[in-house]
Amino acid sequence: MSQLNLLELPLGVGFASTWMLGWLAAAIIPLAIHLLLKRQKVRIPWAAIELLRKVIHQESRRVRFEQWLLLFIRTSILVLFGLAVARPYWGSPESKSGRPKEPAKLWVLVIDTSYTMGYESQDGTRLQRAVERASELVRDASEEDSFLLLTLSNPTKALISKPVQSKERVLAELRGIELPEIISNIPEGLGYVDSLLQRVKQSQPRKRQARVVILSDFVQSNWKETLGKNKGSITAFTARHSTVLISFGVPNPKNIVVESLTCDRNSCIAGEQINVSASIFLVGNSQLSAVSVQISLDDEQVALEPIDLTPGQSAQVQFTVPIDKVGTHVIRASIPRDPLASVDQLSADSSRSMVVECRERQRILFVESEVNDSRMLQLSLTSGKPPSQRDSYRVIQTIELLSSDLDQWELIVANDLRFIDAPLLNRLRSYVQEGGNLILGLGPSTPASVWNDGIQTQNFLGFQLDVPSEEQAWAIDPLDYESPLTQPFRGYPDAGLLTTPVFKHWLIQQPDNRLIQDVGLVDSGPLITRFQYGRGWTACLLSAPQATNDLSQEQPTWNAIATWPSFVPLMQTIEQSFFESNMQRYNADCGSILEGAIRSNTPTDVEAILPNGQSVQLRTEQQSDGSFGWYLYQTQNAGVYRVQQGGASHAYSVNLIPVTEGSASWTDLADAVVPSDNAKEAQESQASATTTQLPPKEITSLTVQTLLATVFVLLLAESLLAWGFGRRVG
Amino acid sequence: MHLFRVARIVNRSQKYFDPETLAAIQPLSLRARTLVEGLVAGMHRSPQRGSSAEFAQHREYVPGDDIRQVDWKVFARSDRYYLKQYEDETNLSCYFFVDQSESMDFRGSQSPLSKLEYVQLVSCALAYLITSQQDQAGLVTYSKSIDAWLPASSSISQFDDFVHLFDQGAITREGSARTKITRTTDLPAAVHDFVTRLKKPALVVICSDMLGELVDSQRALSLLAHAGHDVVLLHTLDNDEMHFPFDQATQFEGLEGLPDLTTDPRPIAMAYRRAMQQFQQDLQVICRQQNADYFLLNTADSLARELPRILANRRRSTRN
Repeated sequence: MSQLNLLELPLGVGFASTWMLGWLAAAIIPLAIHLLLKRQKVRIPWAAIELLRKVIHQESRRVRFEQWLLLFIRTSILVLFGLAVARPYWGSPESKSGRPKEPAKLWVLVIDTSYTMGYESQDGTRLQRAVERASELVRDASEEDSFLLLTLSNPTKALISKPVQSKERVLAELRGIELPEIISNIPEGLGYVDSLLQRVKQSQPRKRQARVVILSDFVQSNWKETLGKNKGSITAFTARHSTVLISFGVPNPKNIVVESLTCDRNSCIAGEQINVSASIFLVGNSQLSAVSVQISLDDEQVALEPIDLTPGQSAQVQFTVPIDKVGTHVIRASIPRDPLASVDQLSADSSRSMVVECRERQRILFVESEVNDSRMLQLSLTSGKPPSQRDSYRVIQTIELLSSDLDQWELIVANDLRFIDAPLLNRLRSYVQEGGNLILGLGPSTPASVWNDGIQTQNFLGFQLDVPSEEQAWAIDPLDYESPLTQPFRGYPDAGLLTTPVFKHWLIQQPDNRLIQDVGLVDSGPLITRFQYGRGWTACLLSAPQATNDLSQEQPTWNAIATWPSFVPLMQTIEQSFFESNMQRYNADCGSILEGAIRSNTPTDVEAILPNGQSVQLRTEQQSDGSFGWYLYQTQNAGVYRVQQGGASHAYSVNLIPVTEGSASWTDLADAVVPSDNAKEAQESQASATTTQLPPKEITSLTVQTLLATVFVLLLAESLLAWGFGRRVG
Repeated sequence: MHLFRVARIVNRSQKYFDPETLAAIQPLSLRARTLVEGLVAGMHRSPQRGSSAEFAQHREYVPGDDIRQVDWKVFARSDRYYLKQYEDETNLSCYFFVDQSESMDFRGSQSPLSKLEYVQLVSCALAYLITSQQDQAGLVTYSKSIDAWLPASSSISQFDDFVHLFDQGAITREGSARTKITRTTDLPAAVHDFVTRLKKPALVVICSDMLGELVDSQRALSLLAHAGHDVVLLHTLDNDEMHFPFDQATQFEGLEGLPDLTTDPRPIAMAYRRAMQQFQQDLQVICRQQNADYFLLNTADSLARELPRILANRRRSTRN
């Protein structure tokens, strides 16, 4: 079945193919033939006219009865055939049982507002058709019926949460439904409907039979778990509530999807180029050639490339985008719509954007306990970069942390701090919490007790220090190179990572669940960890890099990491990962919450400009540490959101989750609502008024078969009777 | 009578008796003569010769008998006197009583001849056979009453007179059609007139479709029987009238002044056939009651089959 456009009449009888009812007009054919033949008579002179008159007089009643009987049978054949091809179904078990008057019902109208409901055909979008259908149901309902109205979304919302009888109110709410560009959370939504119904039933003194009508396109990827045979939640749902599923989707729609847009990095230095890769997916049956893919930077086209698309497959297209201007930029991949309107029924997913940041240079603050303690780290983070892109850095002593303005530094590198205390720790924690990045080397000089006491309540490391390990040659465990820090070493076992000399390191305890272990040591704990705290990140090297084995110092030798070839790429990757991670929050999915810090101790006005141009004042909340943050919840639509704070503007890119599958077929829906092995039970339970209704397909199939069998029997009877009545002149 | 022999002769020259062949020949005089030539050709080829006296039986001589009838050959063999008896050779007087009403003009889709044309041919053929054996044949045509009367005669020219009378009847009918005068049937009145005028008993061959009331038919046959006439009824019907083969809505135009009827023939076809069969059976019963012979003629059937059937059956009923 390509599309389910069901017509359900108030009495509970409906037709799945309403337009096929036109066949009923064929019922006048026998009458027309009868009248036509009667007009086309021949004239014959006849001698035995008296004998004929007697025969006609004697046989007139019989002949008239036979004629009416045959006319009735022939008309019935055509009427029943017309009804059969219109695929009737019984909308309600009560009407089938022939009750004289149906009791008042509680209609629970659940309209899916996933963005895929925006698929557009000649009849409008799926949502428009669903709203129209729901409006019909409301108008056709009894005056005593009441209604609940929900939009199945993420989260699901009740537009009418208490039963109302005012049809005007329901129709007005239906007209006001808008389509966000998010994918509905079906299990959560059905759970919400379930709980709402429970509440309504408990609060309503007058018990009404509830009928849930779900109007959706039943997109497979979104409904997969819900419709899963024998385990899907829809089966349990329909077992509790009389449910009608009305689908507006088709298994194989026509659509071009910008499936993904990725950059090799989303943070760069001015003058660098960013490699952009877009994946284009074609949903449908027919191949397309020379489909233009447009890449734009800040709404200016920078590339346009035609590609060939094969149904069911992704096509990759790659571009290089040079960025010179410092600031945040929006890179967008899109399919120009106009020439593709006929093959792209859904425009929402034909575009995808991404925010990247271009910095003039990196600002790094090195904190030392001793002079030149961080020299190797300075070299590692600045080597290999052209002079114009070299990081801007400063080296301070530990004690200067208290007096320095840390906000101007994007990264603080502190290596094996000996003179650390609680106020300094608190300063670092605040820095990280507000979005700063910290690389921390923990070595022989690190006072474990001070650290553990300082981070006991607000742990921005993600663990507590235990004791130093035994001294031995620990082997590096790359942890399957799954971390972005170790990915550059994948396939290069001789690049130095695996042979990094580590003799001693800190063991950790009470690790946080969110602690990321990037590099480990075989038969021991982690060597490099990362942890997001607040809006910033902390990376810990549990064996602080030491440049030399200075015998004049009393410190024992823990490692030779800083002199090893893997050190420079490892440190630069850690640095890059911070900015990559920081930029991730500028790229979000529809429906997620955008948030940011207010860099002042008092709440200031933060304004957001939505993709549709609307300006909204953002909500600010005070954090547990006393700082303030802003939150943007209205991210239901894809596009670029610009947040303005104190004269500065920052772009956020919000994209929808691409859907590359069609809708569930009738079979899927029927199997899900009534699994085949439970079909008998469901049919038996259908007899009672409060149990699950069989899906229309099941009943339609049975009814159609019965009607067609009746048509066959009537055809046989017509032939026999016509022959018997002397219609067949030999 | 020699008629049963003629039946065999007719069978040998069937091409002359095919209704389709005869229908293609105009006028009636030529058509009837063709039919008669067929009969003659058959007789010429026959080795048999007709005899006016047919041996019937032997009877023992009793005093007073004509000794010329003694069979001397038997006497020579058995030394007893036996008389050789022959059938009585009385002159046969046969009148053909031909219906000329409008209903006899009907010709169905499968018949090459109308009912009247068919009975005219039958009458001519039988009249020729009768006169050829020195018996007398006469002709009476009737509709509402007797239209024309040709007294019985064994003259050779009687055949021509038959044809002439039929031709005159055709002219009269054409005139009636032009003036739209309805020719209805009144068999009892015509028969009553006939028996009043003809005192001597004769063989009366009624050629009609008998589509009037059965009571009238019974009365007419009864009148003839009471007047001492030997009656043969040639009940002549068209094939369509017998089988009613229509399959679309039809307006049946009534003849003899009767109103039209419009109906779908298919639902009543079976009932009509049953009614027609019942009508024929009723006529047969009436004929049997009045000691008359009944023959049903279908105008679609060949005369080569019908004439021998009539002659053979008539021969049997005469013997009985």
